[in-house]
Amino acid sequence: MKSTANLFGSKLSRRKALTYGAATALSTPFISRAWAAPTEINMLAWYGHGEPDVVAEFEAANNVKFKPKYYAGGDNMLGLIAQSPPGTYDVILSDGEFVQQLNAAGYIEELNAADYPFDDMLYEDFTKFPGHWKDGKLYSMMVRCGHLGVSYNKNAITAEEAMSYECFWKPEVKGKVGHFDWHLPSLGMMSLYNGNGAGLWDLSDGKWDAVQETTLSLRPQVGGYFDYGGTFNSLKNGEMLAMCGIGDWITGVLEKDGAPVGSVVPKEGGIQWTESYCIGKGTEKADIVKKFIQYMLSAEGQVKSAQMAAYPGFAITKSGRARLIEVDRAEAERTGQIDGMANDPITLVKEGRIHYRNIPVQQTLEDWNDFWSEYKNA
Amino acid sequence: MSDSTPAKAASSAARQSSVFKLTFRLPIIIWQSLFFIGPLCFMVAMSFFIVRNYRMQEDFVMKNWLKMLGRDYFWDSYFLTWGLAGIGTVVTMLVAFPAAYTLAFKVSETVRRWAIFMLIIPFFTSYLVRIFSWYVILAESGVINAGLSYLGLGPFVMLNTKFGTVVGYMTLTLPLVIILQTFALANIDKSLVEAAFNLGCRPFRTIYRVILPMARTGLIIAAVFCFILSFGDFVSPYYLGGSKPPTLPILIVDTVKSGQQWPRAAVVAVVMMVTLFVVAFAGIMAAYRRRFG
Amino acid sequence: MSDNRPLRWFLYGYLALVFTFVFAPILFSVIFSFNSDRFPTIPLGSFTLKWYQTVWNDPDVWEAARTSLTVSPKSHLRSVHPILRRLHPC
Repeated sequence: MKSTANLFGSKLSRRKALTYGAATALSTPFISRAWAAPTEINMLAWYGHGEPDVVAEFEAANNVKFKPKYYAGGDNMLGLIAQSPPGTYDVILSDGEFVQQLNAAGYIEELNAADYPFDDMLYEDFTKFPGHWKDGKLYSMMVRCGHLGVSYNKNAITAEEAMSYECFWKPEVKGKVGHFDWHLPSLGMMSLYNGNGAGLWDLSDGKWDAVQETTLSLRPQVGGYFDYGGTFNSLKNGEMLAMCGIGDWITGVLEKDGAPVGSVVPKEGGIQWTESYCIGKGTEKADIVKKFIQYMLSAEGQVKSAQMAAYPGFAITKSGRARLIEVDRAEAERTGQIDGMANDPITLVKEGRIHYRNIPVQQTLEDWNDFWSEYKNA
Repeated sequence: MSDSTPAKAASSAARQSSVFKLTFRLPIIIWQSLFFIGPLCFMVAMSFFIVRNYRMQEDFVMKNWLKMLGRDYFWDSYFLTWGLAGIGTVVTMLVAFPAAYTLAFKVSETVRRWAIFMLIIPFFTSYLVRIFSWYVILAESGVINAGLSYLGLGPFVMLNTKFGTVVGYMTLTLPLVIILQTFALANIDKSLVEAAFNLGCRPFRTIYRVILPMARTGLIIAAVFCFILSFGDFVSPYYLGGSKPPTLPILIVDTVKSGQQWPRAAVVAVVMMVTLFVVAFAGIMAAYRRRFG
Repeated sequence: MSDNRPLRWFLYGYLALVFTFVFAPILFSVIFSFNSDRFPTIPLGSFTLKWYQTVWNDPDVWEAARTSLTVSPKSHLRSVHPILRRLHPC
């Protein structure tokens, strides 16, 4: 049997060659990084905010590297912060309605209002967004928003039917209505369907019972409860023909991928999700985080936010909107972000058809979550 | 001192050897205590803690137990998880048996080795990715339904159903169950099987009266593993079953995700563990029960 | 063991079916890793290596691989160590 030992000169050197080769291959991406040693910024956010399509430009220009930790749902976010030592997160993206709790618990730093472009906001209300100010001090900066309403498959539900939450009860979609697996937006929609309008989060015992009853009546129609990935999959391959608790932030991505889905704000009203950046308490990188927040509010940042691959949002500054129309008119048209269009989100807000998402007033989040488990088991 | 009797020498040697054995056993005892029993005790303790402002605080309250066990949806979930894991185990064992029988008796040693090797491959892959793959196969516009439509059969709803959950359980447990069953069957005394044939016993009767009883230990162990894995699985009922209805693992995640109720989740986890201890114990007793006569 | 031909072939076919069930998801995920569409649906899109490129270029993936490679041998040794002790003739 001829020995193969001489293939690389000697058996020993072949093994060495393999080891060195593997080590080099495994360390290649580190070589370029080692020279630069960028500052790491720990981010706590919804999925997608730390991805290259949003932050790569800022990272390159400022020699930083974002380390995102993603959550799903404001209460999830609070839990994550509560369990980590102060200073774990440098920048926190919070749902608008949770900023108050972040502040009350002392997790965020005060911001200097002069640093941010308040006069560039599209809507006056955004400059004094509820919960972001306390005793005249600013704690959080709104950067984007979006609307939640009826999300549907255009082949199964017509545009007129979609103008009311009633379409979820349509017999033709029995077993094909999905829920995003978070109680807050779905129960908010049920509350709007019950006609609670602007008081949708402030439910007396009677109204809360009514909302629970309405929700339970939808149970026979429900096909499943899905997380972020499951929601995308179900709508894309037609397993679900309608989805409760989401909006264009999901269907926008699918539409771009060619799926026959869409979202509208129905006549009973829609819900606005708002995302705001805060500086984590105890961080040592407050300056660079401030710079990042300013970047996200600049025209480039607003366009990046509107075009975010994970899920799109509305530009909230005039310069942002103008730049979006310039570089991506198709997207601006699709989402109505052109002054004068019928479904201009700012117009909808001004008309009162949109209600900011909030946490329940007379019940606790725990009560609503408890009912959510009950609903799943019904 | 040369009055040490052989008995004394023997006992001192025995003592030396037992000290020696203890030194060997000590690491694993310490390890198990630190990383297995310790966390277990902490989890039981945690079920008595309380959560204030999303922060867990040490306490001793019965509130979590009363609240959780008093909820209808907890018991619904509990019995559902039992049922689904039970059905999953039965189905997996039945599906695996003919395959294991073939591998144990009807193929050559080489083929059996290759088959076992191939069955280990799934353990190298990501369970989650395999579950996502089932989406494409089971969806109404998926591969199976597309094929069936050529035969004129209507689209079947397979995702977001209990059927989907069981398919998921099988994805998790089938390779392991086949391997365990094959080993159980291959290690029985084949001369007894031959004797049965020589005495005129037909194949199916042989299986029932001779092979199964001899392989009983291994088969019960396989079933116990299958049940335990299915009972504690979160991924299948969530992604292929649509959380509809939710099983206990999903309940744990729901309890923690919103409201950060770790103590209540600990209650569910402790109930699950006690259940599985009982099942495993009963299984081992049944497996190793001596046959009388 | 009586040699029942039809039974034998049935069992071989059954075994093949079971292996198909076990390997179908793995095969499908390999196929879809070359698919151009972001979400896995049929009909397939076009053949592409872009997902492999994205993963190769992501330093976080390499970091994770390094962690896995260093952690799993350690935990493997820890769990095998007691078993090895038992095998020691003692």
